[in-house]
Amino acid sequence: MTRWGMVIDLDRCTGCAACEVACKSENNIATVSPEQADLGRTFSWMKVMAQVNGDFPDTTMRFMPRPCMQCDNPPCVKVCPVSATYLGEEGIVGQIYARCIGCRYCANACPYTVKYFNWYAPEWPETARHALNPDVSVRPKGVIEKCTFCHHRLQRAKEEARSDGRELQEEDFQPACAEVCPTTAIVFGDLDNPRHRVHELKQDPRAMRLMEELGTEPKVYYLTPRA
Amino acid sequence: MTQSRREFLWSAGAVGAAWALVRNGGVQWSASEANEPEWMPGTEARTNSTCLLCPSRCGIRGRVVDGNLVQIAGNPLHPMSQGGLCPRGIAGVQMLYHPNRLTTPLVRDGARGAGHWKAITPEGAVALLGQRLQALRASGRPEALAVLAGYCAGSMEDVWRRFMQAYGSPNYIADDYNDGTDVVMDLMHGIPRRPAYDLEHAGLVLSFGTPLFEAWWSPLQAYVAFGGPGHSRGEGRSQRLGPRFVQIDTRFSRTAARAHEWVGITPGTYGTLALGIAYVLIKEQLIDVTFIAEHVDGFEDWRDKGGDLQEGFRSLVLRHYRSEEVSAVTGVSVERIVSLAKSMAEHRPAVAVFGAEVLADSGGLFAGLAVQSLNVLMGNINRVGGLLFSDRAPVEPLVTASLDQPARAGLDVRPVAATTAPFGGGDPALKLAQAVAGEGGTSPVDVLLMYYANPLASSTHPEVWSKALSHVPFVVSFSPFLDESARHADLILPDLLPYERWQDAPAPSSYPFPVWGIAQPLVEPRGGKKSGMATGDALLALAQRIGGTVAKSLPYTSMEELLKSRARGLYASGRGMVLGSAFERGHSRQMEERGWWLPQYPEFDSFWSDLVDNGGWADLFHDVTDPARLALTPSGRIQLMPVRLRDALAAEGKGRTLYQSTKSATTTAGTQFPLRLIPYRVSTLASGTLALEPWLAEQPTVFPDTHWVPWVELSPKTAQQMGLHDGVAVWVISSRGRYRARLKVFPGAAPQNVNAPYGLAYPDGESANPLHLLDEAAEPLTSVSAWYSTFVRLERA
Amino acid sequence: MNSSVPERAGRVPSRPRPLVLGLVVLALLVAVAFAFRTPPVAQPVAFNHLNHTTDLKLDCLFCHKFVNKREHAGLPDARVCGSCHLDRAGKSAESRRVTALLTAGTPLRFNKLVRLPSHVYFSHRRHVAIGQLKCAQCHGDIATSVVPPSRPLVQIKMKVCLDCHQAKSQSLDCVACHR
Repeated sequence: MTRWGMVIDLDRCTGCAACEVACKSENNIATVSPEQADLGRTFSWMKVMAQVNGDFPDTTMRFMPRPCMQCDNPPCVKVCPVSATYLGEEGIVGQIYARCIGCRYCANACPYTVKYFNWYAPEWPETARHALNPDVSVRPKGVIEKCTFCHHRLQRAKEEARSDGRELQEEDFQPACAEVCPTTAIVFGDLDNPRHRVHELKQDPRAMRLMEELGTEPKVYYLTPRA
Repeated sequence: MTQSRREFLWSAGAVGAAWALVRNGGVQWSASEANEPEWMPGTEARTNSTCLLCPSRCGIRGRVVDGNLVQIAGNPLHPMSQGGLCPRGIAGVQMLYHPNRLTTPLVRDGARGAGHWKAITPEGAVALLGQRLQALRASGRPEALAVLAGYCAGSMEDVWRRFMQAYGSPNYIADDYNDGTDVVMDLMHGIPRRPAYDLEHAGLVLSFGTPLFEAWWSPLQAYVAFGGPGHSRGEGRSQRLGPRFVQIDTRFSRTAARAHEWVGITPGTYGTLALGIAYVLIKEQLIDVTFIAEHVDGFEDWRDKGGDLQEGFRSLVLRHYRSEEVSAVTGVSVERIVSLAKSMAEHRPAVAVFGAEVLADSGGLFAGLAVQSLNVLMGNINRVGGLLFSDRAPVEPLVTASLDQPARAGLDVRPVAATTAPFGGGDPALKLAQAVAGEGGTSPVDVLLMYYANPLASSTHPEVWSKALSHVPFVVSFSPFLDESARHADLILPDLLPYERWQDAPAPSSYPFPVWGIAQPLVEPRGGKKSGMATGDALLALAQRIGGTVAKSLPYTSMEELLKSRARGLYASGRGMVLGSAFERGHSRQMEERGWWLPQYPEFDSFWSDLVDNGGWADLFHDVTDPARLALTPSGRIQLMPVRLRDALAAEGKGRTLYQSTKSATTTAGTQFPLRLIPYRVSTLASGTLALEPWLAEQPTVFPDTHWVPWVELSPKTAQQMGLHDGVAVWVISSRGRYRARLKVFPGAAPQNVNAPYGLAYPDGESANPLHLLDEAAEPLTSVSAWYSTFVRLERA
Repeated sequence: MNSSVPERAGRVPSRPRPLVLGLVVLALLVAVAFAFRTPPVAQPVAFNHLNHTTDLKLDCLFCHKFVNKREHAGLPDARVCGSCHLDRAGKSAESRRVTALLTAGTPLRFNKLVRLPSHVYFSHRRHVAIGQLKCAQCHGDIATSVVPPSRPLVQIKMKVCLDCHQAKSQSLDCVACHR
């Protein structure tokens, strides 16, 4: 069985936020107004969280890129009254915008706060519409959106492989964040496929998942820093 | 608020005057519910090119769907960035399609700076400028043409310099980012070039305040080195990490946060700490004795020609830089100093990296020499994992210049911005402004061309520049955005963006091997083929229009043709390769190491076509056995006590001696201005001429958490004492001026400092530039402005 | 009664009769339905499919070049038309008009007839090259049409997709098609 998952090596993350911006570009993520931004309503399907400890000069900081955890036991799915969010065949937690009624139950249920609500219709100046990715729909006002592991890339990659009459390879399907990460801190692949790097990395002694105690069974693993 | 939300978002950062354009219907606004497309269905291409938004020149791969650039990703064939990219590079699409982008030349229509413009064709603009330049030349004053050029990509500097030379003006004035390390290298090694660092193979990277992960020559180079070979694309499953990174810094920067070790230090004392480390290295005999014996002068005491005993580096350091004293000055504990020296010895090769943060300070030159002395003591010069002098790509030179009599006469005139500093170029842009602003009305410059220069925003002295611009009879800007300085121009001939034009993009000085990246048009110019013109093409057209020897000196029909002719040098060089996969890179390097090189192409045209397709050319082999890469001083040895500097100090007659002044460099706070200002550059933000992309403005940095508005950082303790809390608006006030910013309380800020990012502006154009507050202090030997000696106070706004 | 009241005020307003009201409501409903209907698609020239596919025996791929390669089937541009019409005009008046337009260098931009919502991923390659579906399955008798239809000949609803996917045991996972 294919189970798409991600391993993020915190030893390698420099907090450069290339993953964040690559995600925004790939997924047509809208910018919100400064007032909304100050209310914490910016959209970041992938977000680099920074945690500061200690005062000068003994300050330390940890960076943690946080996409949707794509849980195997997703709390958001349980509360969705219309099955707009659900666990897909290959482990991707889908978010079907056309079904979403905007109740925001899922956003409240998600312990990782990865679900974002469109309080306003997204807007672009006429000129900037050219830069939108035609592979991803722009979400209307009133629906929830979140990281999809760039599954539109999977749709194309599968077709590409089938058209060539071969099996899907690891490098055929990489989300935008993993593709662009300059330190290769983000590794993506099929957790159940021994030929994929994530299969081995998820068994690393450093591997852990966020809030495992909740039983959400996330498919995003973190390699904790050695130092 | 009358302005709609989307207008606000997109106008932020592009300066206020661009407003006039928006309001006057220069831009059509429409809400876009969805990308329900009028896609002309079908065509899609991914094309390799090079990013030109910062000096790093990473490889990019543009995805073009039906003629629109919808995404910028990394080019995996690029030997340095290897498919990675930074946020700024990715956000380039928002710059390309920015509504405030100028897509056609504009000529002033009304009073200067009033914001009234008339659109003209590029040919019309070239003709207008051509007439002006022909008249100036005919009047016998070609030297009254000046160009202020920012950081030029590749051949653009050659084209500008050639144009000025053939025209007959010595006034090509660089306003680019110069970190001053070339002066240090010149003094110690006799090689006046910025050094390269082989970070990838280093054991330890000891950075003296260099923002490696933020705004260095190539953040990608630092990232890739930091990441090491592990989990990398197609190179096995190794989990080996890169070198150990140690960041010595006055603020808790992102580089400091991510380095394996951070050492907080008192501002202005980098040199002292370096010599403190040298003290331990020498005492504990951790230095490379063989290297010093073979290649270094000035380490031991020596007798000069008169027979007098001169103090060498060893005695000087042992006498003046005892750990306790260094600790007291720098604020770094004795244990830490010792452990830094020991870890340098433990993780060889340990390379010390430095730049403007060390040198742009009074006493900065000594500090720079002090840091470089660590590289010399460790024997790091021209070694794998050390500091190198890398080659430039062997491109073919431009055709020989032919100069007529007016040109020769003009070139003989003393340059307007000639420096008076003993070493280095000083701040030529400011010199130019002072020369023009000074003489009551009659400016030595008749026509000023600004190319990627926006002095009103970037200069430390905008008021001088403001006056200077008003004195120059004809001002031309090539900025693609209506920036502060372009607003005062008579003619704007906006350059095309990097995704619309041909451009070569050689690697920055920090790369340990030469790369000649190429940028090619991914899409048509936004306003259509006829509406805009790349500045390179405009200059070539201008040369043809002026005619005579000027035309003969630049006989190219287009930049594309010029670049193709330059690439012939690469083809004929008998080295390097067209960019290729990791395997091909490894193969090529190993072959060259063994003295082999096999031509890949039977003829030039297929070489050129592959070079363009793959994004450039590189030569990964660097000869570490070449003695000419160590020192080109008269003695052929590295001078730890540079002779020229000793002579200059003696001539100065102030009793200053080498390496001495670093200790007393720190100025202190007064009661009126109790906090030291630490300006720094945020990696995601452009400074000077470029507009902000909404993705970046919304989240300029990972920490502190802030959006859209300029901010300053203050430590929690200091904020509490001053009764200020997070998020309030404050005035940052120095003896020279003030600006408004939002206060962010940040535990990583030193209690006595205010960290102030620069390159930010308010959405309405209000400036928030800490560089405008700097006091008049400068390093006397290089006349580079001191950035870290200004004191400020904060008041609630 | 006050004399200053205008003439019309003298009339007692009659209660609207149910029939009229019903008609008004009906008309409104029809108007609303029309307003929400997709607008008709007009084409720059009155292309005769029958003529090209049957009489001239041209393959669909001749104009819809990307059917087997990409998501979009592709629409012909002036070059495709010009490969025949530049040299020789057909017999009809419309054909002569095409030749005149092409000779004058006018770009021909055909408009998409079938439009999917942007949140749907549909690929021609997948369905035609890999799945071996016939064009007519989704596009009806377009190949034998004589004038360009202004609305799709077959209405594609999600049910159509799902029924077919079910019948051919293809993926029913939402994210296989939604995006």
